[in-house]
Amino acid sequence: MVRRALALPSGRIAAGILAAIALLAILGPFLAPYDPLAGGAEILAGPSGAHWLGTDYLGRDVFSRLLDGSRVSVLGSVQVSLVALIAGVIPGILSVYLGPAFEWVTLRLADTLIALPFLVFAVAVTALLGNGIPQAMFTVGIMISPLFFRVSRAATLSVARSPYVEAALISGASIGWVVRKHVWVKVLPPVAVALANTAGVGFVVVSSLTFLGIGVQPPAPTWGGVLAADLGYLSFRPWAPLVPTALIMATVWACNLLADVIRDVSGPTFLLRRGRNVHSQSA
Amino acid sequence: MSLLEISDLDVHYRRRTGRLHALRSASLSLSPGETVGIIGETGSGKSTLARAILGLVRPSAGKIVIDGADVAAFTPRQWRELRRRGTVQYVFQDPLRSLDPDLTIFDSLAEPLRIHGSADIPDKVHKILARVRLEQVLLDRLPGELSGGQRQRVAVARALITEPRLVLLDEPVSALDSANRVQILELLKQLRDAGTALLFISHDLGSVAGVADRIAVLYRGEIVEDRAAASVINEPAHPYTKLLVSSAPTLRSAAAGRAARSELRNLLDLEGASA
Amino acid sequence: MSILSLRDVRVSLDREIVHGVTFDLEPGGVVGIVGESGSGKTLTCRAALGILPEGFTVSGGSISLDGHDVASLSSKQWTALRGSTISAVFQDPASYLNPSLTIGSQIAEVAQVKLGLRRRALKARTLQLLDAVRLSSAVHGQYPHELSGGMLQRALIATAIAAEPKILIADEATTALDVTVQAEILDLLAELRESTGLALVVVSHDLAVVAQVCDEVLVMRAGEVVEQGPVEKILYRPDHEYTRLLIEEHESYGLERYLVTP
Repeated sequence: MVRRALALPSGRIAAGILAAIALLAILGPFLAPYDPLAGGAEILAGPSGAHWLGTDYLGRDVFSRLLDGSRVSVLGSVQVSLVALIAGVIPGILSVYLGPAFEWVTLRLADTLIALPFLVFAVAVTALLGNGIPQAMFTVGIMISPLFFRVSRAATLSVARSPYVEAALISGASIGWVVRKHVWVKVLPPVAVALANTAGVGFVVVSSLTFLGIGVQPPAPTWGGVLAADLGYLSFRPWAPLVPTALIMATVWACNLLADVIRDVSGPTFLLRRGRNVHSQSA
Repeated sequence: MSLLEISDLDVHYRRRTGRLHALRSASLSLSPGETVGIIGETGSGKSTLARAILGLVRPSAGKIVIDGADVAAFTPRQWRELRRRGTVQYVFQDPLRSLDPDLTIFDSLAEPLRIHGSADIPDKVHKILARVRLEQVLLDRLPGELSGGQRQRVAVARALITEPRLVLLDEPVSALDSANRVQILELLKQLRDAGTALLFISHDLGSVAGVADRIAVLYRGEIVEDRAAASVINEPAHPYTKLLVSSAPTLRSAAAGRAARSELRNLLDLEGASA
Repeated sequence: MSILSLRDVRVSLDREIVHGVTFDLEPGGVVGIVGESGSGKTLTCRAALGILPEGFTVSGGSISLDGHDVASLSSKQWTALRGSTISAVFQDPASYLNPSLTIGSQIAEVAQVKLGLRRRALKARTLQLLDAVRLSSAVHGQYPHELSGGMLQRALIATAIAAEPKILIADEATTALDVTVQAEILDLLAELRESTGLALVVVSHDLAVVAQVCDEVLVMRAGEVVEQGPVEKILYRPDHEYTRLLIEEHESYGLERYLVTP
C-alpha cells in the first residue's frame, strides 16, 4: 500500500510535507539560533537579519520558538493518534465477537464519548489529572477513539457476515483465525484513512489547547502558543500569526491529503492488478 | 446407516415483530452416495435448514444426527472439532462473495487444510484443482481475476478438499451460463458416484431435477413432500408442488398451464390466510 | 405494419459489439431474445430504447419505432416516445423504484406526466393499473421495502404500462425471482398482451422462459444472432450448435428428463 501511495503525485507531496515536519520535530530544537525561553531587550521587533521572524512581547526570538515548539506539537499529535487507535480499534473488532454484553457496553461508551463536548472535556480532565501534555493528549485520544471504534467495527461487521468467513468457520476456524486471516486486512485501510485524518485533527487540537494554555505551560513554546502570543499583539505585528498558522495548516492539509491517497489506493486488490490482463474466460 | 438424520427439527428466529417460525418439525434423512434436492421459495426455510445442519443457527427443538452424533446440542468447541474433520462442507450461492477477495486462489483452497493442520498442502491443492479442471496458473490469481464459472469451480474445489462425506450446495449453478452449468453438474454427478452425499438447495425444480435421486419440497417452513424425483415431478401431491412443477419453464410444455396455475395460487393463498 | 423494426442494427464502443440484429415486432406480437451475459441482448434493447450506456453508439443499420426513424429523433422527441410508445422493465426492480415514495405515487407520477391526469382521474387510473398487474389496492400506500421481489416487479410493470405504451421490453425481468413468481410475471405479461394488445420483447438467458411466451426467437451469442425464427422451429429443428447446446442442457438436466412429452 505504501508503494502504491507513493506512486501518486499527491501521495508524494503529502509524504514530503510530513517528512519535512518530522525532520523539523527531530532537529528543530538543535537548529534554534537563540534560547527560545530567553527574553531580550528588543520586544515586538519586526523581521531582521538577527531575528528572522522578529521577537515577541518578551523579546524572545519567534523563529527559535517555532523551531523548538515543533517537537512538542508533533509528538502531541502522534500521541493523540496512537491512543485513539489503540483505544478504538481493539474494542471495535472485539465488539463484533465478544457477545452482546460487551457489544452493548462498548457501543454505549462510544456514544457517550461522542456526545461529550471535546475541548470542554479535555479542559475538565486536565484540571483533574494535572496540567501536562501527556494527560491532555491522552484525554484527547480517548475522545477521538469512537471514530476508530466505529470504523473498525463497521469493517469487521461487513467481513464477519460474509460468506468467505462462514466458509472458514464451516471448516472449523476459530474466531482468532478469522480475525487474523480475514478481518484484519479489511480493517486496515479504513483505519489508515482515519489515522491520517486524526493526525490532522490531533494537530489542530494540540495547537488549540496550547493556544488556550492547556497542556503545555508557558514559557515552553508550541506552535499554538506562539500563535496565541502573536494574536495578542496584532496591532504591532499584524503579519506574525500567519507563520504558525501556515505551519499548522500545511501539516493538517498534508494529513488529510494522505488520508485521501490511502483511500484511493486501498480499493479491492484485484482492481489494482488489472493491468495484468488475466480475465481469461476460457474453460 | 444414514449419514444425516434430521428429526422433528424446529428453528425460530427472534425478530422485532416477534418470533419467526422458520422450520416446523422438519425430518429428513440422507444416506452415503445419495443426492437429495431441497426445493423452496424465498423464506421457505431452505437456507435455515442448511444453516442448522452446518451449526450456524441453533435449533429450538429436534435432532440433527451427523455420522452418529446428535449435533443439535453441540457446544462451540464440539462444533469446531467436528468441522475440522471436514465431514460436512458447503458451497455458497454466490462464488464471488464466498471467496476472500484479498486471498489468492491457492490460499483460499489451502485454508480448510491449514485450519485442519494437514500435511502436503500444495500437493492436495494441485490435485483438487485438476479434479475441477482448472489450470494451475490460476493458483496465484485473485478471485476478481477469474470468470464466474472458474470461481464456482474454485468454490466447489474448496469444499471438496477436505474429502467431505456430505456436501450442501446452495443454488450452485443458478449464477452460471449453460456451458459452465453443465460442467459443474457433471462434476457433482462424479462426486455422487464416488459415494459422497449431496444436498442440493434451490428454488428451481428444474435445476435439481437432473441430478437428484429424491426431492424434498419445503413450503412455509414445512417439508410437504419427500419422494423420488420422478414421482414428485410426475405426480405432485401438495398444491404447492403442483404449482412448482407447472411453473418451471420447460421447452415442451408451453403456456398450457396458465389457468391451472392461477387456480393453484388461489388455493394456496386461501390456505395461507387460514393458517 | 410493424411497430418496432430493427434492420441490421450494430452497436459499437471502440469496436463493434453487436453485429447486426434484425427483427420486426407487430402490434400484440412477442419477440424473444436468448443469450448469456455479454451476448449483446441488453445492448440491442437499450439501442431500441435510445438509452445506450455512455460511449456506446448505434454504428450501423436502422431502428424504426412506430413509424419514426429513431436516428432523426431529437432528445425531446425521444423523451416523448419513451413511456408512451415504448417502455421497459429490468432485472432488479428495487433499484428502479424510489424507496422513500409510496408505490401508488410512483405509478401516479408516470400517468400524471405522460397523460396529464389530475387528482380523481389519476387515483382511479393508478388503482386500475394495480389491478391490471394483480396487486391489491392496499399496495397503493405501501413503500418498496414492504413488498416482495415479485410484487416489486409487478409494481414496476404497472409504472411501465401507466402511459399505455405499445411496446414493453422485459429484459431479464424474471431472472432474480423464484420460479413460481417468475411464472406469475410471465403469465401477467401474456395477459396484458391479450387484453391490451401490448407488443413484447422478452429477453432472457433461459431458452425455456422465452419459449413460454414468444412467437419469434433470436438466439444471440457474442454479439451475433446465431439463429432466428419461429419458436417451433428453434425448439424442434435447431440449426446452430449453440441452440442445440441450450436445448440439450434442458433435456438432460431439467424437468424434461422426467416429463412425458405429450
